[in-house]
Amino acid sequence: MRYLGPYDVLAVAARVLRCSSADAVLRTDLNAVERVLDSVRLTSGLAESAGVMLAGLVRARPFDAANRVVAVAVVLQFVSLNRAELQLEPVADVDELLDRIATGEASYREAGAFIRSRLEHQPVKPEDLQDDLRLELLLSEETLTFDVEQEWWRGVRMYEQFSDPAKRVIVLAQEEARGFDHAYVGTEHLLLGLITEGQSIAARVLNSAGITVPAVKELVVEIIGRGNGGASQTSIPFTPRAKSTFEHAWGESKARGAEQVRPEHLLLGVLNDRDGVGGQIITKLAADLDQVRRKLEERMNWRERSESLVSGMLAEGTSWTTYGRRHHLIHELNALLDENERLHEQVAKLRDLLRRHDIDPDS
Amino acid sequence: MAKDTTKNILLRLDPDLAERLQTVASVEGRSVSDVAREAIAALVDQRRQDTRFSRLLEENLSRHEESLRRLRSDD
Repeated sequence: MRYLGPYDVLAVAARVLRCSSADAVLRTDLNAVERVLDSVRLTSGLAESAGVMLAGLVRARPFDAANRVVAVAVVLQFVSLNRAELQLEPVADVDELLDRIATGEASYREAGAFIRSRLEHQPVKPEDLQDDLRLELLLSEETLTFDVEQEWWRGVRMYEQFSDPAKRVIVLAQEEARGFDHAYVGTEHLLLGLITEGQSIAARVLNSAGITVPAVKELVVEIIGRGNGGASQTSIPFTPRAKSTFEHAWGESKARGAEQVRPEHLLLGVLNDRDGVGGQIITKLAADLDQVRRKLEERMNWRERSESLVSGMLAEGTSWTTYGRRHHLIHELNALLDENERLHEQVAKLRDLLRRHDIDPDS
Repeated sequence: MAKDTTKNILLRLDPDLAERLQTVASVEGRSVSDVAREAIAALVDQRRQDTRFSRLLEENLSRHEESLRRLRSDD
């Protein structure tokens, strides 16, 4: 996501208030703007971020005139920089929301929900991605050599935080990017990597939702198109959205007490960024992105409960359970759970087939 | 907010930059805040000259001109 900085906000204020940049600085409470922008940076989805921005600017009133108009214009600019458009009509509803925000009756969540209902996403064009990449290059020279294996992340080599299957996903995503001749790895390539990895919960959930490799590839070509051979370099940079996906996946793994980032955490990252190309593709193919997330979380919770149960059993005073033995048993259990899931899926498919032939599967 | 002509700005600056601001301010006989405001204004100008940013802004203001005009004032 492209977040706004204080200079962006001041530039919008100067234009709306029709004053010079110097006057805009004088007429704006910069500290209040900074506080609002800091809160926005803690959010992730576009609608939620825009909601926090709108609610924050309306309540803090940092502009000395036409505060509402400037606040709304700032949000419009933020949304459009992120390739979406916000509908303001009917304005009476916007006014009512702003009144309620100002009096504290409406929270930022309500503002976010309101914005979500009026948000229209624009298709991502190759030049937009190039913009993102250009911005990334300007922001940090580190991007020139950005590589999962080289990247340091919160004091630890990023790659070390990934489980082996998650590393395979990254490698496969890079291969998919090369296959399209794309000069970057985006969330769409991560999505393809997750499917082709094939063994994880994430792959199964995607597959059962009808999100298959051919369907995704078709949409990647439709939305982005093929590249022009810029992917021959050994290290393909990740788009800012892909990097945000890693950040989100890392956060999810920590929140769930996992020792490493797994493919399912990466999928949660892709699902979280519904404006990214990966998120857009899932929405197109599965219709309901939230349902895919629910299904994934359901499977993850089930798996975590089973693992924790077995770990607990093994920890109960059994001196013969060395670390290696325990590791082996958990590995065996995972294989068993995988097989169980596969059988459940087959049973579900058979039941569905019977129903389609007007046969009650329970009769 | 108060409508004073000047206000204090709390800036998070790295020590090097703060020292340079201090030097400029003392050489020019102005306050650090004054110099900082000028520097911020220059950065805002830079942002306003960004082609994509200003194109999107103009498109937004033109497309939503009527809606923005009808928004209730909170002044």
